[in-house]
Amino acid sequence: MLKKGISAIFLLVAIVLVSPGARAGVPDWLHAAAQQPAKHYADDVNAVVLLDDQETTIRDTGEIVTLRRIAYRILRPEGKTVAGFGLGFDAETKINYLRGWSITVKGQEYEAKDKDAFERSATTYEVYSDVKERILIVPGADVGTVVGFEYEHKGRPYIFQDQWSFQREYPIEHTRYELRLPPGWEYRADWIHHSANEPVERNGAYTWELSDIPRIETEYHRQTEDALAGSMVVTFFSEKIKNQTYKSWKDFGFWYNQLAAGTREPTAALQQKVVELAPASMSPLERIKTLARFAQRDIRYAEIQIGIGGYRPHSAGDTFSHRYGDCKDKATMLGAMLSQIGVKSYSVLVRTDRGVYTENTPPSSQFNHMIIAIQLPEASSSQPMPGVYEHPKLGRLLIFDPTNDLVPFGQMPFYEQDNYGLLITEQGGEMIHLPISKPESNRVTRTAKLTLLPDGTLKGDVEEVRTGTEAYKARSRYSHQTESDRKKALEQSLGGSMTALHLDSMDAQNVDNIEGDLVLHYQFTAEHYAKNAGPLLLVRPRVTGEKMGALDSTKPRRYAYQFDSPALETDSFEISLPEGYKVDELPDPAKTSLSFGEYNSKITNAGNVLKYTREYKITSPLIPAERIGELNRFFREINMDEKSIAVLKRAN
Amino acid sequence: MRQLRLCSLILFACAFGSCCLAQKEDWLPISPQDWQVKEAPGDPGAPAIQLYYADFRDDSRQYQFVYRRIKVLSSKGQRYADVEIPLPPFAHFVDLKARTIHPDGRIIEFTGKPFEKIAVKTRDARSLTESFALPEVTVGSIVEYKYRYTWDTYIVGKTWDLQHDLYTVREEFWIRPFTGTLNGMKHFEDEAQLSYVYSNLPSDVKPTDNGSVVELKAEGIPAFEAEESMPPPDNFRMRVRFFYGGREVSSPDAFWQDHGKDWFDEVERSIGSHPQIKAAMIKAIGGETDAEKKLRKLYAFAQQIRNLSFERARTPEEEKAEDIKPNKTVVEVLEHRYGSGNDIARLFAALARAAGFESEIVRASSRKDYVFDNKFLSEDQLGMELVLVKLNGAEMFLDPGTRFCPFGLVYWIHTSAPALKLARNGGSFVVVPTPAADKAVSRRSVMATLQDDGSLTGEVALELSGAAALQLRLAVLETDEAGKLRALEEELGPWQVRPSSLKLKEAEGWELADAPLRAEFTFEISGYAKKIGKRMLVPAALFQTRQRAAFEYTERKYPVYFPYTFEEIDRFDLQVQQGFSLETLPHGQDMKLASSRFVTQRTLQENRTTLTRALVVNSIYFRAEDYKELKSFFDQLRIADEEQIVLEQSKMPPKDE
Repeated sequence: MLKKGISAIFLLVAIVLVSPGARAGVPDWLHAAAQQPAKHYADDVNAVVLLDDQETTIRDTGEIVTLRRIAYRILRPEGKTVAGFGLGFDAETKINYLRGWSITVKGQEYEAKDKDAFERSATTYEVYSDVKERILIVPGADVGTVVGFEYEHKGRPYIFQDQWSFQREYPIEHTRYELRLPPGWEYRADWIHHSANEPVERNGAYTWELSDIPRIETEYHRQTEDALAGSMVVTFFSEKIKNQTYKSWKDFGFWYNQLAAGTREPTAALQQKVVELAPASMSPLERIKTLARFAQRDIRYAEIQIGIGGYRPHSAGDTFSHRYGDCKDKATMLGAMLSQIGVKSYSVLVRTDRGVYTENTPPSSQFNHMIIAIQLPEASSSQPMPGVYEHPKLGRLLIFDPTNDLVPFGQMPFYEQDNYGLLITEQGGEMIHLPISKPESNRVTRTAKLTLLPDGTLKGDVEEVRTGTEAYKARSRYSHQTESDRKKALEQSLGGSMTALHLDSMDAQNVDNIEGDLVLHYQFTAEHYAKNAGPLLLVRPRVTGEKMGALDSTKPRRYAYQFDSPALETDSFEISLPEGYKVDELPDPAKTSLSFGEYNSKITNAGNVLKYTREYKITSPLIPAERIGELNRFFREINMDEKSIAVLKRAN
Repeated sequence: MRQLRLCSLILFACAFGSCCLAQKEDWLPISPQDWQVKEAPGDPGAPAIQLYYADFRDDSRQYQFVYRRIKVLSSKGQRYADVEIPLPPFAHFVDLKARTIHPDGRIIEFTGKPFEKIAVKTRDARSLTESFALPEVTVGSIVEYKYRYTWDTYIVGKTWDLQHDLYTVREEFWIRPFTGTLNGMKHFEDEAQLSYVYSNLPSDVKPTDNGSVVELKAEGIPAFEAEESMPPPDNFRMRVRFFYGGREVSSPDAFWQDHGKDWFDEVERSIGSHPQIKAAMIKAIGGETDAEKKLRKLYAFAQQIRNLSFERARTPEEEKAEDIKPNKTVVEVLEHRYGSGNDIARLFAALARAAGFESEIVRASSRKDYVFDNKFLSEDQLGMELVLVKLNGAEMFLDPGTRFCPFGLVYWIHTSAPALKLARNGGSFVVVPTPAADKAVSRRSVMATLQDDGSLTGEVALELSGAAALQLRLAVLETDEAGKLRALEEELGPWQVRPSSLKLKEAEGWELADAPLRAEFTFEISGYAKKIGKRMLVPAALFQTRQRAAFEYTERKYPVYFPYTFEEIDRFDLQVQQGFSLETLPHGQDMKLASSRFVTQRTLQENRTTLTRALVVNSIYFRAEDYKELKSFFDQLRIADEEQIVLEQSKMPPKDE
């Protein structure tokens, strides 16, 4: 994946390091764009795209040539980063040229030519990737400056497809996509998050044009930009080159099968390992589980991506002998191992951000992850597993992610749940809706026995038990922390709602044993937790655990709100009151029930013990924009309840 | 730059030493202790431990040898088997050997070739990173690799960092200096000599120099982990730094004196004695006769010059298009009406001299990223110029080169730190004084009314003066009005209860150096007070304590550090609706430390409570040993900020606590 954003600091350094060459003529198209009357935008819009013009020419050889011109106007100092343009390429892509210009408010004109560009590897997390990025930075980046870039690149794609992404972080005033095909070629245009438009056909070229496309705004807990932005996927077909194109998901599956053919062939060493790990004496389900655990835990994630390697997995034997591989390597190796014990399995292509693929998404290659669907034996049907997909023909398929080593066998990472994946079988590809777990599978159960002292100090023991997604999220943090880091993180978290806190002890159980519940015990002392007010002692019964989500209620919401997954959290706190104090007033119970969740809490007094119980349940992870008002109310009520205070009074 | 930079010196002569250090570079044996290690000492849960690290460099033979041995302690530690080695520019990567050793002793050699990643490639140069993945790594495995890099025509800078991202059991370093002369040396006829400085090393560890190599061995070195609100972390790392040079690197005194002479000559050439400066001085002063007022007028005049140091970097093409040229003298600064911060400082010094004031240039350090270290021989440490002026017999530091810096104040990055007062003989070190807390005041005044339903409406006025105003003015230089509004909202501080509405009424003083920066907001907070039965509980302060982040943890390793001393003064006037009476009002508090104090007072008059809070922090540096006391102080402040006023619905006279 190419990192297209260029940080401001990087830009600054690069401007100094790479100084562009001579001034030269700004092209007419950029002059014309700069002369457009300025439109009004919200005060947090950093830049606007005045023009984004792309011409795609398909050659009969299958080569695709792209000519693109893009012009921005910088509206805010924070928008100066648009003066740097990054263009990705690899061994199969050649950049014919990349040029840039700018026109400042004062009318000064600058040019940056190809030779002024610099390159860097686009690698992020991979051990190696052959994808590089050529970056060109134009001078004169101040508010009001219009910058423009033009490039031409040609390539031989592995898949005959192009995408016109006409909606991004900045508003677009005008955008155009032109397609030129050689005789005998056909195309299909599929629209995503936008109504379909027909092209204008002229001189053998098809042209689509759009104007005034709003930006994708930043909002708390919205889905990713790719899940919201409008685009058009163009697929090309030719009788001459059939094996690099597809008309349906089914075809896509065939294409992948062809690509990955032979990669699941086992080696003798791999076969030997299967025998050693999963002897026939084990139950079928135990054998599957053991092999899955091996792929998940004993094969280190390491990606080396060269050429078609971005799509095609390494052979199972290589992955096994190296003991490392990327997601598709791990899934492929596990598939090979499972086949040794007679279990069928299928590759599943997914996006790790929910919402990019839906049941309506046209065939397109935007996957970034591979997992596996394991056909479970009949005998396993009695075992409930949240990760099971019931396929009408293939039966019970366990969706398993061998890359994620913190999710137990039978469960799925939350980002794959309620998502769509392409199941690849001998019959081709099939888009399936992946299962979602129930709230009861993702629990946080918090119990506390606490003592309040007359000076307001609160001390005691807390136990938190986490399951499912909630356990996974905590393990994700813990697995990267030393014991000291964990203690600090807990102090930081508790310190948000308690002052003068001292963590007396802390113990996390089952951090590595992912099959067990994750249990956290801790003891703390918080001085002046309750506030003395004359004869009164004011105490907040909700001691820890804030559940209100982040939502900006000062602006209208545009997009759906996304929780990680369904969840069920219950708190049960007992606070022994100091001698000589009795409850004078208690807050009212809270109870809210909406279509996506429930919240209720209650404070009672039994003898000298204050009991606080509450339940927070999320049943649906995606709240549509039209229900944001309800969500706002839900959070507000939680917030009010979490800050409720019980009044204790000193007995005379 | 005439100075000898560490990071790319062209080798002038290749007079190699007659013998090389016969240092073994073979794989080292693995000891039983290595296999027994299960966790990093003092850091249980660490994913891996570095058993051995070696860094050997021979500048005469132009190579460096590096060896790392790491034991994987948990599955997350397997990432240390994915190796990335950034190379210095123009270096050649050779002789890579790498392997995995399983707990049963089985050795799996790395037989592949490393991948070459491009860090940056321009038309003239490129820098690379070598990467590779070691095979068959499991928890308990030891991974190790060694390599050399060589270079042809450059000597690359050198620092020994003893602290890595992992606890290190044992490490060794040596460097064999280059002998001969080096191009680019300040005194080009001198033989190159290598000097070094070390900092923060354990008491029993220090480099030894036997005349041909400098060596160091260390054991049990913990990983470095920075903390929130600590002084610049680089001042706390265990390091040895090396410098090549001629006579000037023979001692720190020699180095700074040598550079001081050069700076003095350069400054005096720039300032000179010019009639144009005198004419400008006369015009700026007008008829003023008071010495301080004259000086203030000259200061204001100098600060009107466009300060390029506080604008974005420009390319040569932009400078040409905008007709921006370097200033050789203060007269050119005057003519061009622009200059760097140092140009403006020199212009002011020239004007002050022309008006009869004794004024000298002082080369100041910045403690923003690194606190000046006399032994660290890099003239980049003293990059900015202040002016030391004698006014009515007293010396005062002025900072005209910092945009918006008020007369009499020095930007905090230069204060509480050494600076070199320039003189013909090289000059002498002085300390730029730490301003008192009343030179950085943040004042918040709130007038609010509590409604029957617990909501709060009102106005808040924010006033920043001195260093507090300067800091915000500089922080928003690269943003617009919307960005300034957000900065002001943040400057108000975290609210006890988030407002449902916050609107800026007006803001003034963004461009004024000598006046406070003021802003007024209106706000509304629903659910500010909680109704419980017959009572209403009202947070006694509108804002949370700002300094919470520094005191989140019970333990601390490094000092707490504030950029500058400061005062916070708050007043909260709260009008309560008829129908409610006061049941209890929190006590006022007065808490003191040696250099800090806070005072809170709460008073009642009719249906209005007035809450005042003053925090004074008169030190910027608090030792780690004093953290507990300091944390307790800020915890008490936070407790005071979280107190509640209790109102009763019935009309009762307030109770006196």
